[in-house]
Amino acid sequence: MTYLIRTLGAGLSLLLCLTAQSMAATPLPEHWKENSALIHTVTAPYIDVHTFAGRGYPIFHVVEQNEKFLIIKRRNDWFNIETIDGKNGWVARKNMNGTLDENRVMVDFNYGSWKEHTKNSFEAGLTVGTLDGIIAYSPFLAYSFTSNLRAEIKYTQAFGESSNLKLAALNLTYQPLPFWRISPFFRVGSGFIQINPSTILQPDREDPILTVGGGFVFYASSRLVLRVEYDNHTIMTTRNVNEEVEEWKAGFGVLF
Amino acid sequence: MESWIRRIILVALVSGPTLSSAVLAQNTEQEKLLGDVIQPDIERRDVDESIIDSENFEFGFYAGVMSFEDFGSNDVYGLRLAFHVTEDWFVEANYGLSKLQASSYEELPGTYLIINDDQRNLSYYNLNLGYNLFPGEVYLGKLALNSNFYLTFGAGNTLFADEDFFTYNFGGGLRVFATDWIAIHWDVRNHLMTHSLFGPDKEIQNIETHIGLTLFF
Repeated sequence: MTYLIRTLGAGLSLLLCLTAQSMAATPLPEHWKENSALIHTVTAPYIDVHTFAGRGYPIFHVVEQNEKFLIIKRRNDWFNIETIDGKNGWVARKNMNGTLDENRVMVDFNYGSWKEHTKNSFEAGLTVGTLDGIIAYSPFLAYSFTSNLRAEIKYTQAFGESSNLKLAALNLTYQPLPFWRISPFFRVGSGFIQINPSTILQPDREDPILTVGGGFVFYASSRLVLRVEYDNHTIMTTRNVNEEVEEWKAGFGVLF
Repeated sequence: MESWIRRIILVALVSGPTLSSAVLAQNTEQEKLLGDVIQPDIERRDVDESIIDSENFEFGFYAGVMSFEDFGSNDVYGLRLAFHVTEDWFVEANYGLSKLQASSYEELPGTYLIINDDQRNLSYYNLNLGYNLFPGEVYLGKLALNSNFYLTFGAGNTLFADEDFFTYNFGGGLRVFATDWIAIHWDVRNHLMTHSLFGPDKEIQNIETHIGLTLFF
């Protein structure tokens, strides 16, 4: 008889518990239903929500395990989210890792170190240094065919006392060890050099060039690289002798 | 004796049409609990970030004063485009316009103008790397606004007197966010260049300060 009472009691309390739970589950807001692909569920014990997109901004809230949140937008490695009770804040990419999507599949947010850099095909950047001993800078744009091989367009402008130089080139670079953090590369290419002397006595010249060079890249993050490079340009002049010009550069590039 | 009573109650619970959904919910609840404990080798899927709106670019304009050595302090107007690579690093391109006054030398009686009126129109562009040094909040009365103090350095061109001059620049600024996508800037930049308008080469430093408005998109 005591068993019977106990069992009945357990059943009753279970019933109460379930009804209480179903009452507590709030329905999803309308704008959540329209973006159901952006609703994620937390699997970690909790994730921190910051007031803004950066580790320096204070944590004002946490989303607990099994709670849902809606992703609104992204600023670099921070995600703007809304909690079910309407709080709006920012979550770091590393904390987004392992959340469940609408189909309850665990999602990998590619929280990567610098090693993820191979996922980007383009690089744009600027290097500054000297060309033939005078100050020069080069904006460049590059496209990677593989993690080893890439093509780049480079425009160099140099400002000298006696002349200004402009150099445009199309290069191929080969990077034998892309998985080293400081990685060497080699470059061959061809283009044109334009020399504008400051005096009006000498005419402007334009000659084709051949480039051989190389350098090192350093992957500061998966999106930012720092580079140091050296190029040796051979100017194919119309005279009997070809000129050689050396270029030393340091700069940065952004991968995207 | 007791076991058959229990069975009857259980059967009653399960077969109750109003309760069947509750039991189902209980089952999934249990599965979830077990799932949390066991953590099997679940297949992970890479996130499809293309469906998430990204706001990494910043575009805006600014206005301020640029002190150009020997040629007075002048109004400067410019455009700014930035790409935020990480929460710390950003890349920025600026294009600015200004107009130079006559230098003190040119205003002396009995001298001539070194550059004509057209050549006094100055424009510059530069590409900079920036670092967000102090992320934080600034307080306006009771209002807490997110902010960054940042440093920038880079290089570019200054065009005036019909000539291009290679120009380094470095500086810093304060970015205050009115909302998470509208920012107000206060910047100080120093532009370093060498010119020879007065004969021998002269290294000059031109300090610029401006206030700007940018939008993230």
